[in-house]
Amino acid sequence: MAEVTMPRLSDTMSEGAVGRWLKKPGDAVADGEIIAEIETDKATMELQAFESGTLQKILVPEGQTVPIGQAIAIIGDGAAPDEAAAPDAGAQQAASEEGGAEASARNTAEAKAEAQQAPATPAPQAAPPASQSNGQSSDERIKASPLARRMADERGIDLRQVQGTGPGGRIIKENIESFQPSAAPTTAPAATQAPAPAASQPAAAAPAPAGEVTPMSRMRRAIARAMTDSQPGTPHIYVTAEIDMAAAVKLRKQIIDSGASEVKISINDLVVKASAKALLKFPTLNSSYTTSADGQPGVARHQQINVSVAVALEDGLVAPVVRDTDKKALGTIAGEIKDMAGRAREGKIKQNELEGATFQVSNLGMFDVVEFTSIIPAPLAASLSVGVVRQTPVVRNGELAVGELMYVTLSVDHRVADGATAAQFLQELRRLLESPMSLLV
Amino acid sequence: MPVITYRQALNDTLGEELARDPNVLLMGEEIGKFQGSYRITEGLQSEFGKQRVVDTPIAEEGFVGLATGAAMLGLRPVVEIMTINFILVAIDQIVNHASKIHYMFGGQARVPLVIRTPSGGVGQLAATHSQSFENWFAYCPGLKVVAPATPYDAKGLMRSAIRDDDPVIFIESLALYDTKGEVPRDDDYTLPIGMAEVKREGADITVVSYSRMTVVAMQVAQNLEKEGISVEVIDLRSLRPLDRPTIINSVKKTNRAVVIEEDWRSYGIGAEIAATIQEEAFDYLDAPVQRVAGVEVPLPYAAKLSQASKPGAQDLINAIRRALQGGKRWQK
Repeated sequence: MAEVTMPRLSDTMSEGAVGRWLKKPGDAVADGEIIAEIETDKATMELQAFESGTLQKILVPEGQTVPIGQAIAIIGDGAAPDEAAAPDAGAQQAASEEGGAEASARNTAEAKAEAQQAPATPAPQAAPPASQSNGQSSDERIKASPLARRMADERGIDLRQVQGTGPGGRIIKENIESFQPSAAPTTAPAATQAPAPAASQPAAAAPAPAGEVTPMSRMRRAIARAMTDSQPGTPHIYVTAEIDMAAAVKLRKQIIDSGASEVKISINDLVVKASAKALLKFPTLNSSYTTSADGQPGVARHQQINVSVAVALEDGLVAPVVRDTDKKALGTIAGEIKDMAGRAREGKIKQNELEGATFQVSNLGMFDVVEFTSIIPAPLAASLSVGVVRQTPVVRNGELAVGELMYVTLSVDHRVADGATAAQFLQELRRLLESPMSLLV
Repeated sequence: MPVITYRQALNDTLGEELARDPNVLLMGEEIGKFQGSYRITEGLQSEFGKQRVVDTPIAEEGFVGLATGAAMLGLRPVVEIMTINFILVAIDQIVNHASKIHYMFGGQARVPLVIRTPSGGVGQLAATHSQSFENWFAYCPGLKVVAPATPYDAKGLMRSAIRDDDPVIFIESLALYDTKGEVPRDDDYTLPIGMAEVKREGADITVVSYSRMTVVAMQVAQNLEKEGISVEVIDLRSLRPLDRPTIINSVKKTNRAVVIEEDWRSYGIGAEIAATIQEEAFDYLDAPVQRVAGVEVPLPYAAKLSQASKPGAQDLINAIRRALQGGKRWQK
């Protein structure tokens, strides 16, 4: 099973279009045979197969342009595509889903039928947990070259977390070399060693420096493309959760009554602090969709957690930024927000105080709004919309009680993350706010 | 440095060795009066006489046996087998006698014999005249097998072969006879048997080759450089003994390897190299070792079929791409 990738046919070529497929799925192809015509920026050229077998699947239809290096077809041993794809996870899974995603984008009956015939792998929405980013479960034999295996061993890298780009998803040397641990809480504290200067990290700072950009997996790229096809710009998804704020309300009252904080802590301050803490566990949501230096789509993980708070003005809206929100005490956060919001209303906020956000919180609770959605300010990956805390009948331990419920809705850039990640983030946010003592430590 | 053909380098060397050592003699079919089917022995009989440049009957087993006996008694015969296809008639003399006498008789006699013969096909010589049997001899302990790719190496290795006290099979190539290269004049250099050469340094992939395939590999390496693919080319030069360290060191550097050979794929030189690499550099491999070899059929006479059966530059390029698959470095 081998991928045919968009070849580099000239020095200046960065992408190419499939002009014509000369073979169709199921056709036998021989090593060296011409299987397609590729249109480059300069000319139409022939694409040779360098593997013998059966053209298993065409991933890029005629007329579509893709960057060089991207898989455009799969040559296999002639087994039925689904059967052949089933035993291998990793890249083949991504490849087949890429096909699936594009098929649905084409939106023809034929394409739908095709997509439905590929039940071997889960749908993109049912994304595997971040700890298994290559989609291989722990008890499967992971395809890795002997060299990659040795390097991973030496560096203490778990091969299950590495995305392989070799044939059939095999993990090769450069995948180990470029590997960056994902979703590991240990990455966040590293930010203290290299705090980015605020001015150099404005809100619209994409593309981020190439070194920090994690290239997207093919699956991620396919999702990003499919989502943008249906929702151009930043494709949003919204996930809502209900949080019982009784304990948070009580804690807030205690802080105020005890005079522990110079500034009166608001519910929103608690939400801001809790969001920052939850982001530590879900760094994917503290990132930006971007392109790396070579033009490939990628995800830039932000080193700092800077939560901005939307402040309504008479005729407009600004969002001052609380830098290093995760590291600041609740009282500090409350003080900064109060100060900046006040100056924003007076038109005295400084530009650099509005830059560098990595996550945003909008709260319309003061207008008694129960629930709403917000548009993510580019280039953030997510924003949180917070409703009012209101007394509502709830069932606790099987008994009816008066609860203090609050609805939160997370808007997520679906190119960067999926619904499951958003839901897990909200679970963590809920856990923090329902046991709010953890916000004080 | 003068530029001469591979043929000229061999002709010069044979003449020089005949002049240097009175024990050296040449034997073979039509090498004297006719001056050799491929003109390797041109002018040598008229210069050194019929005692030193001996025309033999068409009886390979007989004259290889004769040469073996002569070598045991102290002469240094250089036998020409017109093409390697005809060596099969003499294989019993080579494998059961020449290669084993020193060992089986307690070292009482050595066999300083050279058998030189062109291997591989050129033009439309069809199934029985286009074969490559060097692996048959490289398989046999007691023999040394060399296969130079350039005029310089042909000269250095021919000198070493003639001066070596063990039987050496000297593999030439019809397609290489007219190729040219620099060869120093008045320089009695020799090349050690059993040493490969890194003919071109590269970082991304190792191509292991010998004889004519080294020329193909060098061309391919040059072409792929334009795409940013850095190919290291190893010319084995000697098939037995095989210079394993040079291959292994290269693969440890590049992590990927392709072997190209002109003969059939199964049980070939490529199989031996691939096995060696996985044994000694397993933890350094980033992709399976690729083999490029001839199609496993009796070589067809029809020109196009014949061409299609032999490995060429495009086959090597495809194999290199297969081995590099998945590495973004080469796709951008």
